[in-house]
Amino acid sequence: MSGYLKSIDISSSGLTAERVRMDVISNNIANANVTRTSEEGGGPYRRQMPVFSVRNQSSKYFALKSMNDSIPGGVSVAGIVEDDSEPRLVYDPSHPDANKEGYVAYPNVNVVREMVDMITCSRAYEANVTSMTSAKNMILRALDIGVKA
Amino acid sequence: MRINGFNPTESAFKPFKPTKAAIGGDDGAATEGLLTTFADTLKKSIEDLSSLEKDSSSKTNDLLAGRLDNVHDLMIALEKSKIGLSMAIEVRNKLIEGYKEIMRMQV
Repeated sequence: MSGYLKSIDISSSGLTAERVRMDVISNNIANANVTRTSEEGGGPYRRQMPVFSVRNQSSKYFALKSMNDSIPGGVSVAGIVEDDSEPRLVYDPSHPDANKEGYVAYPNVNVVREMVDMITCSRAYEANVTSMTSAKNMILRALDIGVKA
Repeated sequence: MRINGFNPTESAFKPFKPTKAAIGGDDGAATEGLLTTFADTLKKSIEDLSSLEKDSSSKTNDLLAGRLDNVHDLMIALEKSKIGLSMAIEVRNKLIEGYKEIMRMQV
């Protein structure tokens, strides 16, 4: 890939990662009151979290002296893990999924926390867009060199 | 006072050959790729540009067909091909400028 577009690729990976996070958060909110994860029961839905990792790229970068320094190539989604915390118990004996004591296990999803994560996520997305725009403007500025006004 | 005259050396007209020390690489394959002529470089950048354009048009098709997950992928592909095109146009302008400059030369 052309080297001058690398910064855009890096921001692009950030945008994709934040989109994945947004999907996971939306899924958590959508399933906030799900008491069965399959037709036969299977317990309440468990909150999911995306795990990001650094995407290293050992590419040639002429600005760097040492070729042993790997250039961060952005971010990648390492996986989506489940939150193992205890489900929320609500007393509701009339619920079909209530246990013998009359408690229903609701997902360990805290909607307020998901909302806060969502704000973080959308701001991070914006930050990536801003850094991409900035990188684009830098490239376009470079093209203006030597142009007669 | 002695002024050194313009003395074109043969090396000035040879393809640009950066030394390993200059680019700091010990990667043999990476250095090989740099030993190219101007024509090769131009050809490669035009191929790069064409692949950027192909990428953006295939992403546009994907979006219209509902196959695209991330809208930003399309926007980035479009932006990349736009930057690539501006870059190519700028290179062309510089080349034509140089050509014109030579054509204006009085013999």
